Amino acid sequence: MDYNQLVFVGTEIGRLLVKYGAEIYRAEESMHRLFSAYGVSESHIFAMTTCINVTVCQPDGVPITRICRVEDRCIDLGKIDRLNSLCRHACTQRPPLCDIRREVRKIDLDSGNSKPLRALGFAGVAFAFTLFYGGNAADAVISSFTGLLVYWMQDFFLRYRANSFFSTILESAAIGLVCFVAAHMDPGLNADRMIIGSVMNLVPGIAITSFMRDILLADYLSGMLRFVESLLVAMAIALGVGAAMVFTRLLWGV
Amino acid sequence: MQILLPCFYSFVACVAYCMCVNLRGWKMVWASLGGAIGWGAYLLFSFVNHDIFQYFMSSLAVSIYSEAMARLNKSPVTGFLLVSMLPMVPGGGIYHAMEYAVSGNTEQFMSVGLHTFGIAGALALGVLLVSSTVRLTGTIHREKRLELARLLRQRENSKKPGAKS
Repeated sequence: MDYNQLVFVGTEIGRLLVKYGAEIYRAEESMHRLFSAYGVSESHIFAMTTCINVTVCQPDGVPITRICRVEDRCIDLGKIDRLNSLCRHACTQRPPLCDIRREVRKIDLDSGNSKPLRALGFAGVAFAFTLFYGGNAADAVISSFTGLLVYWMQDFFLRYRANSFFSTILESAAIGLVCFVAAHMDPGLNADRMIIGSVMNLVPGIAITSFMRDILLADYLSGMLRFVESLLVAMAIALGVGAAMVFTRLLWGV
Repeated sequence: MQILLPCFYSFVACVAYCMCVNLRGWKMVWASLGGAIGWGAYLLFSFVNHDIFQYFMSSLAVSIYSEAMARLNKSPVTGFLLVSMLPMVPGGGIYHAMEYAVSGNTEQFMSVGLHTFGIAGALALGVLLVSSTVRLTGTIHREKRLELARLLRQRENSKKPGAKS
């Protein structure tokens, strides 16, 4: 039994779970189950949203420790689901470690939905939320264009690893500008509905549910980190839209 | 119709969001249905005329639904909860608070901002109640089963020496 390999695979699963937006509790529990399924009697795991520490005691008493930094995080529920079922499978069937490792790599490298489909998703979120918040059909169409714009900007910023606070400000400012200009051209449009609908693409759904679940499962540190992060994102959105609002008001003296 | 249309919109929005986060297949449909159910619960309780209470009830409905769906699909509850809570994010409150802040209306900004915070708290409380209850019942169930197994083993052990003598 290669314990180094086991620790490597376990940490990799935990890292991907945290990276793609699972709760800390789930990552720790998955790693713990995997280690005990492969016959480790003593394993200590401490995971945070940015870092995972694992120590596994080998039968001869020599511990193996691995510290793993979680760099960029994004939400990918499909991957969490697949990792979860992989972990379940591994705990019951106990396949050879190299198989799990290959499977984990495959999940990590999977690029997910194709670009047009994701762009359609962004446009659809903006479209449907504008209608949901009481906009009319014309508002929804304009919002779906801002959704596409946000998708394009996010893709660009992610590729060059821009600071997320900065990129959120720019994206929300772009949304604000497009919506205020459109509302200025055609008074029949409701700028506020369009903006509230389009901004839903930037509001991380993770903000409300995940930090709370972390806190109530007693992972206070990660919960606070996520809470601060979501407050920062909300502030960035407000700053961007606010800047666009001030700018257009000064321009047209509304 | 007045209830159905917003629910349909939230369903469509959730489907679109699922496309962004790579949730596929039937799970996408179930998760999005959660969004529609949540908003339906919100509108059903509109006779109370107190939106924080409405948000609380809808988050309760969504969490119960998500826990059930997670058990049925053998999939993490995170996915279902994340998608179906999306329509309840108080975007309007944040926007209007920002609008008041920009126009220098501090009083309105504070009152709208605190109200939005209250909504977020109500959503949190709903999720907390349900998931804690589910975890508690799960633990009680497991402990009882362990207890039962121990009792059975004890009885067998006590029988064996009796048979010998």
